[in-house]
Amino acid sequence: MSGLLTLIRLILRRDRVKLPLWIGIFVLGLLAMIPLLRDVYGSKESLQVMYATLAANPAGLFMTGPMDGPTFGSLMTLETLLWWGLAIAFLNTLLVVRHTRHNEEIGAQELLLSGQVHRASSLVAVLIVALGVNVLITIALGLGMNVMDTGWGAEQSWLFAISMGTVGFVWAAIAAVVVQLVESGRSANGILAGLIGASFVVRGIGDFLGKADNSGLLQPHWVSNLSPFGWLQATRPLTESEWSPLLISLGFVAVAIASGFILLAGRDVGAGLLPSRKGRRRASRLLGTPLGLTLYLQKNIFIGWFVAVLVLAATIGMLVPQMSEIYSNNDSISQMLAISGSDELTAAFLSMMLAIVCVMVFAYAVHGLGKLRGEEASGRLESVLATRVSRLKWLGMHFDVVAIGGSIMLAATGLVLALCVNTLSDLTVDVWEYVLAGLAYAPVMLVFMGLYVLLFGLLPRLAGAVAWLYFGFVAFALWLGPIIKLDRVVMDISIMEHVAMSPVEAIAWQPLAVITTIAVGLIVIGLAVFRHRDVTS
Amino acid sequence: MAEASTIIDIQNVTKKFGRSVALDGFSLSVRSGEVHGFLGPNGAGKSTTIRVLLGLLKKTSGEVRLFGEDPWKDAVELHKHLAYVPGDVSFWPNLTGGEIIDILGRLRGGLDEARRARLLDRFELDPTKKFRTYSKGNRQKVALVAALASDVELYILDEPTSGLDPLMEQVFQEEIRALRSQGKTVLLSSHILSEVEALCDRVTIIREGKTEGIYTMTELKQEHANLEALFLSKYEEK
Repeated sequence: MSGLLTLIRLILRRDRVKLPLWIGIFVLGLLAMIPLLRDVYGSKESLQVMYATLAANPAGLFMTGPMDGPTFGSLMTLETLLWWGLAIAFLNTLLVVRHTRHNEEIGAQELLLSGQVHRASSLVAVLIVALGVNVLITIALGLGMNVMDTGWGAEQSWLFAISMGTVGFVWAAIAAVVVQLVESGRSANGILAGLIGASFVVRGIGDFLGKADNSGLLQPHWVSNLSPFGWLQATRPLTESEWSPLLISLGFVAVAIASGFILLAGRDVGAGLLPSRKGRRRASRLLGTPLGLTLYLQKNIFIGWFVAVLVLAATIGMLVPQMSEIYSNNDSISQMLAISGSDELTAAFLSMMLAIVCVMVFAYAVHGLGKLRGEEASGRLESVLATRVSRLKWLGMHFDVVAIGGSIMLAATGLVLALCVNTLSDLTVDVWEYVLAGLAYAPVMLVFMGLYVLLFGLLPRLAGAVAWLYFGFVAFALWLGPIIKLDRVVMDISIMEHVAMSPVEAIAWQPLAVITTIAVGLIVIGLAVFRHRDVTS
Repeated sequence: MAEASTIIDIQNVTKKFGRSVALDGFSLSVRSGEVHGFLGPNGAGKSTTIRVLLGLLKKTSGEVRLFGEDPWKDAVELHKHLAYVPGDVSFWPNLTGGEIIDILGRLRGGLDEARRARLLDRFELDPTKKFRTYSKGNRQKVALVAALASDVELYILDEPTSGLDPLMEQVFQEEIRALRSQGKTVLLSSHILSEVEALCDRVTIIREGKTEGIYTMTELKQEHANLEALFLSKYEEK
């Protein structure tokens, strides 16, 4: 296959910083969880407590997956397998899309193919790189676990590592098919993100509906077989160690990759198999205005995240009655929430869940503002700024649309969560209290947005990376921070630590005022810097 | 307004990007009502000059005046009087050509409907296709129609016809001549020497960020057989 090596070298060169960084963070992050979890939960008593409460309350399985027994291995699986599984899924899909669909879009594909390169070489090249990445992760994880003091044996370590690498490659294979169907890289990424989310939910439903068998293990409902994350969990690497489920994954990979190549053979370069429709002859009245154009550009991002956030809020609302009991015996959550009495327990739990979903709205805000850099880098901003639209107006429009969209999402999260709890369980909560609680996170969202604007003015090329990194940190600190007893100093870097977790904790207006001021400051400085720098593409 | 006022006045402008010098004491002036050619080897600084003129880049030193004002400070006000065709045409992939033309026209302050329809017809552009489905030449036509359909004083065109076929090149030239006869001003940066020869009154040649020379078309025709001979002779000079 001609030119293959060149293509592989090209992919590695283009991602020479990204790939090692991703792999490093992935592997080290996971390995670091071992001593951290051990510290907090290592004792037999803690494990027994966790196991007993989880076993009695199956609803929690939706989010976390099962705990097979009161062992450290089960706990490790519970806390890491799914989340790192999600991460490796995204890693692989983004990689495949970037070097196939996206390439075609930017015309690089045509140029590559005009050389002595077989039509399918691009896909082969990126799949080989993906395979290499997954194998590297597998080896690193396996070796890492073996040298660390874990409490489980070599076979389990390697099965864990191999399961992780396999689920990664499964998603690379799925991506290989999806990129043949759509015309743009962004659509492909969007569809794949949706598939990953759906797979997670399907597996969650399977666990939720599952039944314990004779040996006390949870046997998920058959729908879990439809989800790659279901296959991931089926190997139970650190407990029962089943190698056979890997065969399902590998079989699927073979079929998916073959399908990808068959589809590839049938289409033109740059085209998707689904036909592209003709469009309108004239622009609508709204589209010709700066606001209209901004809404058009932000529309899909808003809708996608809105749906995701609402589905998550509704699902949590449905499962709440059972879930709250899980945490009644959990030391770290109790410490974190400082509760007394079971009504407040539910409120505390709901507040925590509200915070988590609202953090996802921050992700929407960063994603939405990412359009700023996108428009500049593509060169479209040049044409727009050559008209009557000023830099301030352009940036301001995007900012306002995202801020309003995000605020709507925050309020809707509180609304949906409260409504679902009220209608689907025995509990009753004050809906408006939750709407207000959601909105109270708006200043925090504005800080994220201000941070992005500042970076966009100062270091536009890094704006996205830094903003997402900080977001990742905040999300991690919120969800896992208390569980691994992260140092207070480190936790304080996360802005969520400085706001009240409402409604169980009363909204603290002073910190919100300070945070809003900080946000405004970031925005003003960012804007000023943007107006004084060159517009580069 | 004086009989031939200077619409674009670039005096001794330097533009540095970090340590690399893109413009090195460059000067250019364009009079009202003329079609002014802008020539230079690749990487000489033509696009940089245009971007400075549009207020996208900040000059390091020197004076830039557009309609008598500073384009870095008054960009929005000045842009009401100009239309721009970028060197690298890129627009929103899922919008149609027609929509993009309308958007740019409206953002500029207005489109002449009759002109728009006539240009779409003359350039044989199908406005219902999505931008990403256009060929390179057609993408350029979208930018061209968007600019030429506006009724402004100044047209800044950065290699506007590099992807067009000879027939469309003729259409373009006829449209520019029409603009000139209406008293409009055009700054045309181009590599297509026959086009520059056919359309321009004066030509500024830039080389390595400096003004290599400013010539009238009559001067050029007297001294050199054609523009190409001039070009090569100027560029080969050390």
